[in-house]
Amino acid sequence: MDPQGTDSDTIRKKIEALVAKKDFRAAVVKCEELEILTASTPFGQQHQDAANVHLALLLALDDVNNARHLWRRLPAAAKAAGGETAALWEVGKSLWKRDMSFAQAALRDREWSAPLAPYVALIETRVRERQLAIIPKAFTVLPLESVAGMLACSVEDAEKACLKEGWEVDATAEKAVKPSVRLIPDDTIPAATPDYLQKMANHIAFLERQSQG
Amino acid sequence: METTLTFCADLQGLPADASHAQLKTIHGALTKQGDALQEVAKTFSQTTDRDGGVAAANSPLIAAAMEHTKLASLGSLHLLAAQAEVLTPQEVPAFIDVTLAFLEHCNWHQVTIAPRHLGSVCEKFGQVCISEGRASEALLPLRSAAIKMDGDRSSLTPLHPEFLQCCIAAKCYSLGSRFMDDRPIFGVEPVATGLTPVHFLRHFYYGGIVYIGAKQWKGALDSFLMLLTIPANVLSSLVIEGYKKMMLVSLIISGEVPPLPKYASNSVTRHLKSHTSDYEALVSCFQAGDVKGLNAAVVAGSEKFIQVGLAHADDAQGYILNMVEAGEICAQIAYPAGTVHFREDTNTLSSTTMTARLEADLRSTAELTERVRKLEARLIVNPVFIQKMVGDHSLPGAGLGGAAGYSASWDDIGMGD
Repeated sequence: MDPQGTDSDTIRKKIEALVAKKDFRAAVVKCEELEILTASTPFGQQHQDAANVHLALLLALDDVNNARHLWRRLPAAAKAAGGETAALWEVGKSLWKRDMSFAQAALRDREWSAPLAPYVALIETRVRERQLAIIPKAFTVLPLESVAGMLACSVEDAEKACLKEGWEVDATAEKAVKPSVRLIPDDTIPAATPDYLQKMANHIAFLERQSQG
Repeated sequence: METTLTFCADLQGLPADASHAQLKTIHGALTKQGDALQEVAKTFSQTTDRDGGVAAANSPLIAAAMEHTKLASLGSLHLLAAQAEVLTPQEVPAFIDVTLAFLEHCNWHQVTIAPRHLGSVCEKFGQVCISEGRASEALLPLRSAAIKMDGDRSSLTPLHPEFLQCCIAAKCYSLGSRFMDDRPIFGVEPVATGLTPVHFLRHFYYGGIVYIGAKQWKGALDSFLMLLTIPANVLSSLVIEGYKKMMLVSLIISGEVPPLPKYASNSVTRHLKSHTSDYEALVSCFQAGDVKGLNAAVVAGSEKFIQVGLAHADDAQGYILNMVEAGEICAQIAYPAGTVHFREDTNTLSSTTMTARLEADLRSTAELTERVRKLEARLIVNPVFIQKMVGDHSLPGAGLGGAAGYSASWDDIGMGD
């Protein structure tokens, strides 16, 4: 469909731009488009590079299900053991099992190629952010060691992270952490702009018409 | 064959914006050539078979179709449609390549004159791409073609199910589910698109599977519900398979299987259960919390989809964390006892994001209401519809067998306008 490769080059540039803008969801959509656009040409290095970026973005978004389908779609040659694609999928497998410490270790223990390194760093940050976000939601109290396990870091670093989040770490030997949800600034009341009021009026008019009909 | 090529030459002589009537005349004449064209293809493949089956040369139809792809697209489409009917395995690669080129370069103004031919070429194209393991190559051309054929009418075309089936074969579930989300179906236009009831059933069956692959359970449920509630006089095997999957999806979403809606056809509600007894057994074990029975039902059905049971407390923690993160439950784990406290959902409903969602939902509801109102306005003045509602209380198209029954009722009530 794209013999000169001009369309695919345009999409590649768009993916880079979207990643720079941190719009990862849209970037993944473009990765899919690139994949089907280049489906009729024999699988080569360009395909492999694109698949790596695609896989990394899906993992950063915690979309392990679609990452799994992407892995299944790749030809056997692209999945060679020891390659970066296979290494990324090892991370994906541990995310699937929610084995975060293994996932983070797998990310750190490898020298990633220059084009892929920023994406790997992105996955690492996102995994850590997710872990920090889930702790206050899912635990009332937990030992510092568990926090360290979840963040895949030393106990000292975990303590620093907890204090930075504003969580209570008690001074006993067990060092129980009491995470608290960070207060979000109050944005509950939308600004009553004329535009907003007009929209509301339209909606109410619509609902009234329905209830009469 | 010669006559067809003459028509191709005529088509080439037409201006790019040739009138609908001119194209229609040529289309009518070409349609009459269909059988003769198939004969040419058959004779050719028999000759090559006798020569040892070496496909040294392309079938004359494929070669001619390739030549006329751009300027005489209508002629080319007829050649491909005739070839699709009598395609031999040796001709498959050439057929795929020519159809790929055809879908990319053809003149849509000409092609839309013959929606049924386009539908049958794309159906064959999708099938052979899947059987050759080249489904991923068919995705982009089929999707573009479906979008072009539909325009902005939001109606179903025969190309929709072909695209979705290729998505499944190529494991591109998110691509398919995005297509379903981005292009909701609000109508059917059998006359303009050559759509048949089987296309409709296949579309929503494959749509459900695509959503399952993407783990979008709500979308899957909606899609299967559309499949199950199409007015029907007979039970289709697609409906049976769809219902089986719908039961499992319902269990995943809500832990129970709701009864079919009242507007589902009688023939569907009455006969469906007798075809799905294995699944019914599985559902009742699930609802009774009978893990042993559930495993037995799964083994008995020899369908290896689930393993039940948690091996370790850590597994349970993993599941709880996943569910909390997905916003499915509100629960907190307290160490060192490891107890779990489930709480009422504390998600605030008055945040800005929630207001925005409410606004968007209201807007789409208003749009949908408007569509339904317009459809109703069109229906209540339709003489055939009035006659059916007033004079005859039996089912529309009753007495006609299978697919003929569906299409009779669709065309009668003027859904094809």
